[in-house]
Amino acid sequence: MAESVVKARPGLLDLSAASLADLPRLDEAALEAAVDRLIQPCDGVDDATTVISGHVRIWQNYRTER
Amino acid sequence: MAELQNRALKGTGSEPGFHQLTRADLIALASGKFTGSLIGRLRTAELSKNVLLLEAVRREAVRSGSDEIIAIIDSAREVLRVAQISQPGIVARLFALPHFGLWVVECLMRLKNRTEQPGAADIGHLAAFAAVAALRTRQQCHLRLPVRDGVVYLPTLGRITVPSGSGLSWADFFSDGHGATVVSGAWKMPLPAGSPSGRNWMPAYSVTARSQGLEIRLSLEDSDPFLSQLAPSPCPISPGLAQEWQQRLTETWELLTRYHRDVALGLAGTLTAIIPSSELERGQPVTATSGWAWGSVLLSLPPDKLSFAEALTHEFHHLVLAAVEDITTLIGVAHDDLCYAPWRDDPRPRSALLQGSYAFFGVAEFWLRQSHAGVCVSRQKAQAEFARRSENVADALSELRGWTGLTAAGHLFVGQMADQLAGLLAEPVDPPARAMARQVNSEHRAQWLRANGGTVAGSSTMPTAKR
Repeated sequence: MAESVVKARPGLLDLSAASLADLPRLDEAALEAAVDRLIQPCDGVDDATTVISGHVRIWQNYRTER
Repeated sequence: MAELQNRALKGTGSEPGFHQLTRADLIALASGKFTGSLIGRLRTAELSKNVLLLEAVRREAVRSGSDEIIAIIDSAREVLRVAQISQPGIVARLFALPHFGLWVVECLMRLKNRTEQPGAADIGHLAAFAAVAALRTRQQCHLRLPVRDGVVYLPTLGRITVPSGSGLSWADFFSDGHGATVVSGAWKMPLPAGSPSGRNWMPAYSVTARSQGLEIRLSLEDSDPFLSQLAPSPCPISPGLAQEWQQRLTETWELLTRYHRDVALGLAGTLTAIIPSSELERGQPVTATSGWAWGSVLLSLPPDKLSFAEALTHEFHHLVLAAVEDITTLIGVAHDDLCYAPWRDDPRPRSALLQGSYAFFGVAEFWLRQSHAGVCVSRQKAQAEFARRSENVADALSELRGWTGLTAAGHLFVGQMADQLAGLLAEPVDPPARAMARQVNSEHRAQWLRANGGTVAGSSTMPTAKR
C-alpha cells in the first residue's frame, strides 16, 4: 500500500478548530454516524475488570504475581 | 472555522473532513516510534472527539432532556462561546482535558440511555468548565455551579468548600472581568482571576518534573466529580502525599527522559493528569487507563521509580492506541470469542487482546532498554521481565494474526507489531533470565487452563459458548 489513508469506515470528524457557534450547523447524520462509531465498538473492546465496573473503554493493568 | 471543518457543515455541499492516519503513521505507532508531530495529531483528534460529543450532548438534551437541563447547557455554552472568540486556545485546552472527556461521554451515554438520565448537577458540571474559561479570559458572566457534598469544583483550578449552613445544591458565580464571586445563600467568596486563595479555597495539587530538556506537569485529580469515580479505592491527596508523588515523579522522569526518550516525549505530549488510587491489597499496585478520560491515568503511588516508569510506559501505550482507534477502526466486530491473555487470569475477548498486546509490547521494549541501561536494577531482572513480556506479546499476537475480526488497518497494525517483536525476540537474553521468564509464563498458562477449563490441545482459545 502506498502512502494512502488507512480508513476502514468513516472516521473521526475534525472539529478541533470548530467554533461552538457553528456546531449546530453540523449535519445530523454525520454527527450521529461519528458518535455511533465512537461509542458502539467500545462495548466489544471493554477490558474492565470487576474492580472498575460500569465504564467501557477502561484498560486496567492487571498484574499477576511475579 | 477552518475550511476543513466547514466541509462538515450543512449547506456547504462537501464531504466532511476527518482525522486521518496514513500507512506510515500506523507503522510508526505500531513500532513504538513516537514523534512530537504524530503525538500532537493524536491529541488534536481527541480534542475533536470531545467537541463532537459536546454537540451530541446538546442535541440529545434538546431531544430528551428537561427544560432545566437545556437551560444549563445553553448558559454554559454561551460563556464558552464568548471565551472561544477572544481566546480559542483556552477553550480548546479545557475541552481536551480528561476531566471534560469523561464528563461529556458520561452525560451523553446517560442521556441516550433514557433510563438513567443525568441529574442537573451532572450536566451542570459544564458550567464549571465555563467558569474556568470565564476566569481565564476575564469575561463578565453569571453561571450557576453545582455544589456536591458541600464543594464547588473548578476543573484544574481547585475546589471551594461551601459552608454547610447554606444547604443549597447550587452556587452562583458572578465574574466581572477582574475575578469572580461565588455566592451561596448569604455566604460569598471572592475568587481573584490570578490565584484564588482563602480558607474555603483548596487549589488543585499538581506535580512537575523537568529533565533532559523535557517537562511534564500532571495534576493529581482526587476530587474531580467524574474522574475520581474511576478510582476503585479513592485516595485523597494531602500535602505530604503530594510531596511523595512529586519526589517519585522527579526521579522517574529523569529515568524516562534519559533511557526511554520516545516514551517520555510521548508522555509529555499526552499525559496531563493522574487519578490517585489506593492499593486494593498491600503490594498490589493499581494502574488503569480510560479511553474516555484521555490524557489521564489511574495509579496508586508506585513504590519506586522503575515501577512508576514501567506503569507510565504501559498506560501511555493504552492512550496512544485509544486515540488510534478513535481515528481508525482496527477491529471490525462487536463480539468475538474468548481466549487466553498472558497477563490475565480470566478469559478475554480477542478484541481486548490488542490493547493489552500493545501496552505490554511497550513494556517489553522498556525492559530491553533497561537491560542495556544497566542502572538501578539488576541486568537479570530487566532481562527476565523483557523475556517474559516479549513472549507474552508473541503469544497474544499469534491469537490476533489472521483473525478475521481485524480490519485492513488492524492487520497492518498487528503485522507491524509482530515484525517489530520478531526483532525483540532475537535479542540475546541470559539463560537464567530466559528460564525464569519461561517458567513464570508456563505456570501462568497452566494455572489459567486449570481455572478456565481450556482443554483443547495446542490451543488456548475458549469456546464462545463459555462467554
